[in-house]
Amino acid sequence: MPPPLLVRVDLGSPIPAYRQIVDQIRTLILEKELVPEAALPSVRRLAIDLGIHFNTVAEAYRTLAEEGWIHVSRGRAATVAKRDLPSRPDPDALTDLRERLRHLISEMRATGLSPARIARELRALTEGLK
Amino acid sequence: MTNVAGALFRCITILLFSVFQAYIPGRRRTGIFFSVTVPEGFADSPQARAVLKSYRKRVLLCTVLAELLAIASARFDSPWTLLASVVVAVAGNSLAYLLGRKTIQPYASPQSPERSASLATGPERLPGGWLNILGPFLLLAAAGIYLSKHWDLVRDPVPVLGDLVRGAALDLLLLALGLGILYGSRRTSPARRVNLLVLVSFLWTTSAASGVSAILPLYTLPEQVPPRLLPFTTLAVAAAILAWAIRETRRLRGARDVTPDECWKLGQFYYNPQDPALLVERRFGFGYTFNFANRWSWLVLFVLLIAPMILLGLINLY
Repeated sequence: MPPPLLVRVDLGSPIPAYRQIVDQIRTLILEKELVPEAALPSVRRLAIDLGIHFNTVAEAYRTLAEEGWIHVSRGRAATVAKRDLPSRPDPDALTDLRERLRHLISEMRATGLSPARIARELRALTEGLK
Repeated sequence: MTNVAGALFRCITILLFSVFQAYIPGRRRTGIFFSVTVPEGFADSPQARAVLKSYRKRVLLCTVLAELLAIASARFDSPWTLLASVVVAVAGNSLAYLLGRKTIQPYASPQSPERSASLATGPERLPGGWLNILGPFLLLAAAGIYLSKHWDLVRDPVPVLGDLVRGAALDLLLLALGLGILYGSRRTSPARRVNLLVLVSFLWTTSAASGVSAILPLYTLPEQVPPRLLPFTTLAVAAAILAWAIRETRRLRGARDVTPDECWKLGQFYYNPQDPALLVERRFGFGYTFNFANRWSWLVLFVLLIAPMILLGLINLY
């Protein structure tokens, strides 16, 4: 039996808890750990298990639904949506992502990682998302 | 004679309560001492031992005082002195715990802000599934049917019906607690399954005891059977279940507790408006406690306290 998929939240992080949940579930979907139609725990269950407010988890699910990653309907379990990736990325989104990546790479450099190592890390992560 | 028996009963009750109080700081989870998160191995340090020693001295002092008041209440037949003995035992021990906690707080270590939860969505069930839960109620129903078929043999219906009603009420209470843990506590709680198993075992025990107790008056038992065999057997079974549970939870003490220290009011009451859990694992001893910031906990507590009173009132009325 495969180990259960986990969501981790760091309440001490400057990134809001709902955003951490969104990022992790999105990654799990892109890495195909969560397949289309797979059910997600209810807002109540995930909030109790994480020990955070219902609204935080509800906000995360709402954001994922708005981005088209999951289906949410009242009284039914949230499920992973079948979502095709756009064939051409939106140029505005690309600019924004490039900016965020630039900051992240600066942060990696600041920890002492060499540019070659950073490139290797990014390549490995990108391979995992194919 | 009644006064001596009464005094003895009160003294033993206070003594048992105090022994339990003196013992609880030792029955804690790893990394927790007096409900405070402490560094690994701190509980074995000289400072920790000194705090525990002075805590136990205070508990002893409260116990002696409460015992003296309990004896005086029996001697002078004074309900107020009896009340005072209970107040001294409960409030004194709580205060001793609070003082111990205050002394430990400067040694507190920062808690990890990380939380994790499984994305698994399997169905949540009580141990053994619904058939296992229905069984104890069917047992009571069977006892009721058997009684109705032999109703002409029942000399006094009040205790017989009382046994069945008490059994059903206790079963409902245990079932409610089980469902509370199942749906209102964290799935990651290490002792969750042990607690649920205990509740389901108690469900069977109370049903069996109530059913047998209701049917027993229909028969004349042989003289060699002790009159209190059933309650003692029930108590022995309950004690065995608890002993098993305590042994099992001891193995799980290493698991990290994610509840914030500052939310443990007086070190014993959990109040966290940010935590949607209805029940959380206790930081010492065994079992769960309510999250008093959850309004449902007040409702459940009200029902738990009021329902038995109404039931007792009804039984006494009829």
